[in-house]
Amino acid sequence: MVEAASLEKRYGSVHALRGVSFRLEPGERAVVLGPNGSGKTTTLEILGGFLQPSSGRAWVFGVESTRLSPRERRYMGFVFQDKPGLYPELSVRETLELFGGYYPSPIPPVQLLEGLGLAERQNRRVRHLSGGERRRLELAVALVGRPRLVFLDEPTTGLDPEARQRIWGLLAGLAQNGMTFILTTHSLEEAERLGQRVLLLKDGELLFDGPPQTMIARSGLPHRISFRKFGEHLPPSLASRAVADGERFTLNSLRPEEDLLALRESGLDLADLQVRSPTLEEAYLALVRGGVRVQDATPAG
Amino acid sequence: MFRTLPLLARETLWQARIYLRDRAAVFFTFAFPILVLFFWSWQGTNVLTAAAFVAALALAMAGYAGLAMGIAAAREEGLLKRIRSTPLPMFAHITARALAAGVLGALAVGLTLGVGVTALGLPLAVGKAMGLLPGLLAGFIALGGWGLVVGSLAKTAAAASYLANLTLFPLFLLSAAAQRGMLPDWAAAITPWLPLQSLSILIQQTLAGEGWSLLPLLTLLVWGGLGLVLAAWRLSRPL
Repeated sequence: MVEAASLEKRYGSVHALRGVSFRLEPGERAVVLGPNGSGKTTTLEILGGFLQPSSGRAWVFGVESTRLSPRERRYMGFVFQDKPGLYPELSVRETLELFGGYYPSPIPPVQLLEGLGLAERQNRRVRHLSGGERRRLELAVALVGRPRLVFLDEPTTGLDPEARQRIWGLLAGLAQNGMTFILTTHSLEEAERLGQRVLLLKDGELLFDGPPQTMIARSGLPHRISFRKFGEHLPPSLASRAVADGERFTLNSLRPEEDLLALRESGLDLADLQVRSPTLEEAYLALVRGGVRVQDATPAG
Repeated sequence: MFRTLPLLARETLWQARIYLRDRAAVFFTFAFPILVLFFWSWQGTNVLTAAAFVAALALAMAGYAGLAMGIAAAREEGLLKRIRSTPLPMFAHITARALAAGVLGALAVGLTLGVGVTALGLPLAVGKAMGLLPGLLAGFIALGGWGLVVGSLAKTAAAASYLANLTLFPLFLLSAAAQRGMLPDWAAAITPWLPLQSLSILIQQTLAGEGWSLLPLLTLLVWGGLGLVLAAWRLSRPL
């Protein structure tokens, strides 16, 4: 459905994208992560046909992104990062009627407005909406044409937690119905909630491409096993790695299953055993700070 | 093509509706020319001359300044990018903007002349009014074409506003001075070749029942042709 092949983008001396390649199959939900200036928006803009790559190519629905026609755009939706692209003089409802009219079978405005919690604002002019309400309207405009593929550039930035949850719920529901989306975000919680697959960019380079759990596993971060121990000594294989704090011991483990087995087989009297896995945020920070490209990542699909 | 025509008609209606909700645009398109008409009449200018010039100004406000600022503002607000993301072809959107500006400009001309007839005793028969249409069309092509050029050049609405004022204001002053015979020779020599003056001469001749002169009509068509070619070149690139 979406394919990027060796995408490069230069703005003068700035190398915004460096040979980014990936494929997205129908129904996939990909989240693009990366620090500011890592090339997330540039990638989406090239895929959407708004930017020409310096080299490399991109295809959407089998058509080169620079040649996308109204026929393909019937099945695409966009939430842009910077400018809303809405008419300030129109009301919320009119906005959806106007944009919905460009598509063959639009979603009725009322249905969308209720789904996004904007029903009470339907007669309010866009210029009088709050930032969060405007963001939700942008999402409604992106979805009004029943798209098969949606590009979402930081769609929940500036939203309150309730609105964010509502949008996550809506997107998850649409994804269950087969909608494909590619989303950029700085929220690791959002990435975990919505993404089947993470594309991690840094300095224009794709550091990782694969499921979130694989990214955590490949980050090289240890799991943290902690417990209280009474009597007996720890087995030598664990004792050298365990840090004691009174009765409580903490063990950083790259192979938690093996270490837990060793603990069980030691016959120690353990209490309050806890195993904490590294989070996606910790994995993200480790990979971004380390800047190591994960070569053996397994792309989904 | 047949699918695009209904889209174009619908988009034109929406663009007219959006234009009419912009208070500043409505003031400068409909109210400002009438204020100028009253001001000139109080100054003792012949009502026919004043009405013809102000009608041309009304068309310029919608077709030139309105179109230029509308397109630049749409770019600045990300609307053109939004349109590109939809199945509506960009040429249909831009054409709809131009058509809406043309229709509203024609309404502003009608309103100006109507006020001239009812409040200032401008002699105008229905038959003469219909005779205005070809001149207005040529005038709109000239002014609208250059409105598209300015709109495609200016990156922001403010820049478009400066550019439109920087070009329209001197045209306005030159044409106004020409109506009163107050221009030095060099300026009097170039004024007939300017679009605002040509349009006001055509309107004046029609209102006076004198028929059209070829020179102002050709002048407008040449300005229009140049503007449309430049606009087509500019607008064929991503906005």
